[in-house]
Amino acid sequence: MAAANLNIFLTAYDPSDLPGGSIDPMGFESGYLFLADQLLPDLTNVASRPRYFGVLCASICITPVDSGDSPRVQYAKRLECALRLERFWALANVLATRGNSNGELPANSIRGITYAEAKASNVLEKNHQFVGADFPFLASQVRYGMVGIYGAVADRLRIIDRKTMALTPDLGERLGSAFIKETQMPSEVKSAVRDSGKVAAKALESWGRRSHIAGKTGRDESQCILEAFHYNGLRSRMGELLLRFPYKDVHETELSRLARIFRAVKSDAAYKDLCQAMVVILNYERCYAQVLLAFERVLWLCRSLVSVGLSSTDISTDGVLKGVCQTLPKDLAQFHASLGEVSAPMFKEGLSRLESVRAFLERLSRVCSSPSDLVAALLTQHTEVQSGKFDNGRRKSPWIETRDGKLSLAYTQVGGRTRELKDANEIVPHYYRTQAADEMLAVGASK
Amino acid sequence: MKKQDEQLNLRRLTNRLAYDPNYGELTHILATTFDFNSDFFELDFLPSVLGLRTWDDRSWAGRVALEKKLAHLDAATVFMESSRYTGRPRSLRLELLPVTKSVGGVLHAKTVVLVREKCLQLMVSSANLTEFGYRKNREAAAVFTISEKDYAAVPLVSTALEGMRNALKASWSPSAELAYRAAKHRLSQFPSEIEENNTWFFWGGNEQPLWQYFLDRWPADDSVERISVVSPFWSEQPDHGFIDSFLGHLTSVGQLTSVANLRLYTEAKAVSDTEYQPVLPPAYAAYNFSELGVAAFACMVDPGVLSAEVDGYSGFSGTRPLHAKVLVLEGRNTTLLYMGSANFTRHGWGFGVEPARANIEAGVIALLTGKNRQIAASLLPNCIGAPLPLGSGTATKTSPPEEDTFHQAWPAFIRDARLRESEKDASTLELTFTIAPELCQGTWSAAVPRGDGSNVVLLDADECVTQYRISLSSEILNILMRQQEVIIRWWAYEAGVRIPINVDIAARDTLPIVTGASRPKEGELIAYYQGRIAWEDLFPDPNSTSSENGKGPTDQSDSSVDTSNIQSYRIREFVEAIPGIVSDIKMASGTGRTARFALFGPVSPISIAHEIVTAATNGSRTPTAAGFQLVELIACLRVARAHTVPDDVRKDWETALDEAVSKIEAMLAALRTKYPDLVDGRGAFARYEEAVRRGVLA
Repeated sequence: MAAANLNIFLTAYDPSDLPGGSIDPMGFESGYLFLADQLLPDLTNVASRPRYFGVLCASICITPVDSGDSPRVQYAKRLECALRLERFWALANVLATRGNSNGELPANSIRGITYAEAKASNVLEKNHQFVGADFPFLASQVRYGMVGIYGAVADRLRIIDRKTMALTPDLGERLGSAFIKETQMPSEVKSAVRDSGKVAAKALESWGRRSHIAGKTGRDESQCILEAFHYNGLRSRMGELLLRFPYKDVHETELSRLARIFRAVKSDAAYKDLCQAMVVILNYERCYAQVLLAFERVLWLCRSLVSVGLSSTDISTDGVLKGVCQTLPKDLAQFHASLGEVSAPMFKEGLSRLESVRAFLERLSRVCSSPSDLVAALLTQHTEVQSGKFDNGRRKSPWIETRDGKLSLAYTQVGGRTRELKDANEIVPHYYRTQAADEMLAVGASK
Repeated sequence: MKKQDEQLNLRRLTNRLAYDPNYGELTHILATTFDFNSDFFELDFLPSVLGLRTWDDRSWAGRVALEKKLAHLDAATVFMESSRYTGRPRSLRLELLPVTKSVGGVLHAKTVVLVREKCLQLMVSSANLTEFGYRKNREAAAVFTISEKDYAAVPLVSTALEGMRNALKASWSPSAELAYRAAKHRLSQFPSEIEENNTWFFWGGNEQPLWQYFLDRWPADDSVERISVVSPFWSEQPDHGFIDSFLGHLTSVGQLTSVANLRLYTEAKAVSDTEYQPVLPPAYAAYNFSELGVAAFACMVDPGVLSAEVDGYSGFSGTRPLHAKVLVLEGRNTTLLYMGSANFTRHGWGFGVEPARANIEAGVIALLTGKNRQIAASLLPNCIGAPLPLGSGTATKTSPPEEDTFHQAWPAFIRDARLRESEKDASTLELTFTIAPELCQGTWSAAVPRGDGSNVVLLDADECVTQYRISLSSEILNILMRQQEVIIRWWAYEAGVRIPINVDIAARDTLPIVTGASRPKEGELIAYYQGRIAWEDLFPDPNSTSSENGKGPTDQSDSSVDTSNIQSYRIREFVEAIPGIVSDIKMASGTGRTARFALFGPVSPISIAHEIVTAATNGSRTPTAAGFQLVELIACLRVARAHTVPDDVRKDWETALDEAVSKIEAMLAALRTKYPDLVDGRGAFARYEEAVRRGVLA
């Protein structure tokens, strides 16, 4: 062969051990998810744009399924159409955004926006009249796109049956039909979704304006989304509180808002269970912030003393770690006290899901007289947490290891902040899904 | 995706070989490696090439998913150096063959051949089949993808395949041959005209040493001005072969300019936070290169990782060991390049050793001119600081390479340990040892570890015959399936070593989907064919206590009435499953193994047929109902003959269908013998059967 065709190269580093979600180095995730369920069950932070539910249902509505098809075949057909409509809709959104010069239609929360933008640029630059859905999109579209992210929530909201991807007759079918009708989905989009065909770019842009992620939802679509939200009683009551107590200003944090809501309704028996959940959450997050601060501090010190390693003297004399030693026992006591107040049956039954974190915090609290012992207990927990995670089939390694009696960053350490943290307020807390709830409730307000 | 990210991804080996739906399903794997890590291979490499891209754990469900994919492969064989054996993959569908080179040297070649439905990929590289090889080390690789889009490399890949078979002929297996033939067949589907040939594939360890073959490619009308060698390992003494053979040859034919520049790209060893030394045997620092008219330098390859390589993370503290092997000769108009598995050592390049005693190495040699010379430049890694002068009179200090002392004793007289179908009864397996009598010089024994610290002795041999066949009780077979290795003790090594056992191709259909998994029952199979449960749900984790992981499908419907023993419900469920059975058979009409798996595997018409016969035998099914089900299954298989199937697999497809039909016909015949009412030509069953068979024929 000709050497010109040689495909020869030096390999690049392939960081399989970079934790994709290098989150939760101390094992607080499971407890957090349990607590989030006590306020807004079945929602997720990431599925925060309710318009996706309409797109998903519409794709299923227009899937040509024969009654003789086996459930597996039906599922495959629905999935194929959902993936195709998601692509068309993403592209339609971007085209509509480009065509709207006043910035009223931001498309930035579209999943796979970069791919859709690239395709839109290509369509506009080359003046393509017709476009198909076969452009490069999310590499794992099923997992990270509409089906994976919104399908799971839609299943829990009783909009679809995720296993078969069939619409629920009362809510899913209505929502799908409403989206198609109210956004006036062009028949050529429907055909292109069914038959893997093409759509006129102009028609797509026009539909993108009517169905835009940031656009106004139709009456029936809004009604369905609200019904889905209020289907769960706990979620519905929390929704009432969120509507009554919106964010004060752009500076207010989610936890501050929850604290404000708690203070305002703590004596109202109708919200007793929610108040118990909010106070546990606030205390849980305080403990979490202290533990993360200590851990980030150790990472930072290891990074600063990379050549010599972190000695027990360095740890004992560090002001931030000393501060954690003083504060953590108090925060833990408050956390314990709030757990003791829990009486709502469902909440109380599930408290065992906080047990591992609670036990860990107890262990930490017992050694808070010595920053060195605190750090040793932190690292024991971190190592256990990491060994319980898998990445490409391998157990993850801890980020810090001991060499010659000193602490150093592990060979493949990649987590943690790159700036110095000194205060627990600098630790980013968990998010408790209120943004997703606010978005769904806002759809109702636009009805 | 940014262009830079795309290029980085293309330089990642797992990405380069990853599943691409445009190329179709993987059908055969053939690979060679020095080191082999079974965890990496099964949990990282295979999921990538098979398209299990969301792989993230060792769960039972993950294992079932992998085994299902592997069951569709026609053949998968990996050759590795026997002295580096540390364990075989858990799947018995993968053949691992440790190779002992009989006259010296080791198997050191690193090649991967992937035969897909619409393409063939060959990768030759310096990377072992380990996580470090594919993800961490700094390696060099060449990937040739033969498809409709690009088939320029057909002759080169063909040579590479032939060279592989020749180099490994002593260990070549039927599975390897199957993969080889499939690869050659795939190549034959593309034109192989050679417009211009200045690239060659070379396998070391044969008649000609690599260094000589390489230098023979240098054009007579040019002189070498610069030599660059990238290697993590080096001959202890520069003058043992390297100088005599390599530089000596160039000097003797007048092809080395008097001011030639020699650059040795080495690993950089940190001796303090700021200071590094080249990893080279000390003799290189003291050798008098100037006598040859050569100015020699050590270039320490930067062990750092680029921020872009770790997703822009700036605090990454990991480093990359150098493992690439590249040699570049540059003249006024020409560049000659080698890239492959051969370290710059005596056995790697065959310096000063008999050619046959050199390692089995694999690499690509290319003669580059014009702007193509940049290809060679791109294979020379970045270095720390300026090149350090080497040779007597210089102040350069080197760090000696760390010796790799891992060397597993190996019973080279055992060519193969394999489970095969018994000669007496094809439904049972026996263990066979194939021996090389010329290497067998004393007594030896084979045992299998029970897993509790004790062993079961399988064989005590005090003579050497070509083959031993050992019948196995079901208990011993179960232990072997679980352990997948046997312990061999022999006259020279009483402590004994574990060697892998493989499974003969013909016996692979009989393997359970995962060792320890039970075969699905009729109700579960029907639930699957109805589309009510996923394939993976048919094989729940036997050790799981979770109710979610219990037997996936139940025999009860959503109502509270247990209908599992009511025959009419059973038959109705079966009828509702028929479209799923037909659909599954249709989807399987691709490669031979896929078809066989769908027709004869644990989830197949044959599997249901066995369940039906069992139900009839134990009285839980009437003969008429069982007969009805078997006739319907035969009809499904007959109908499948009409499916559109690619020409090259049609014959295998029809043979497999016929075999499946004849198996079920035999079951039906046995049923008739036992229940003569079914034979009554005037009865309702006979009329039904005739109508169905006539309908199918029509």
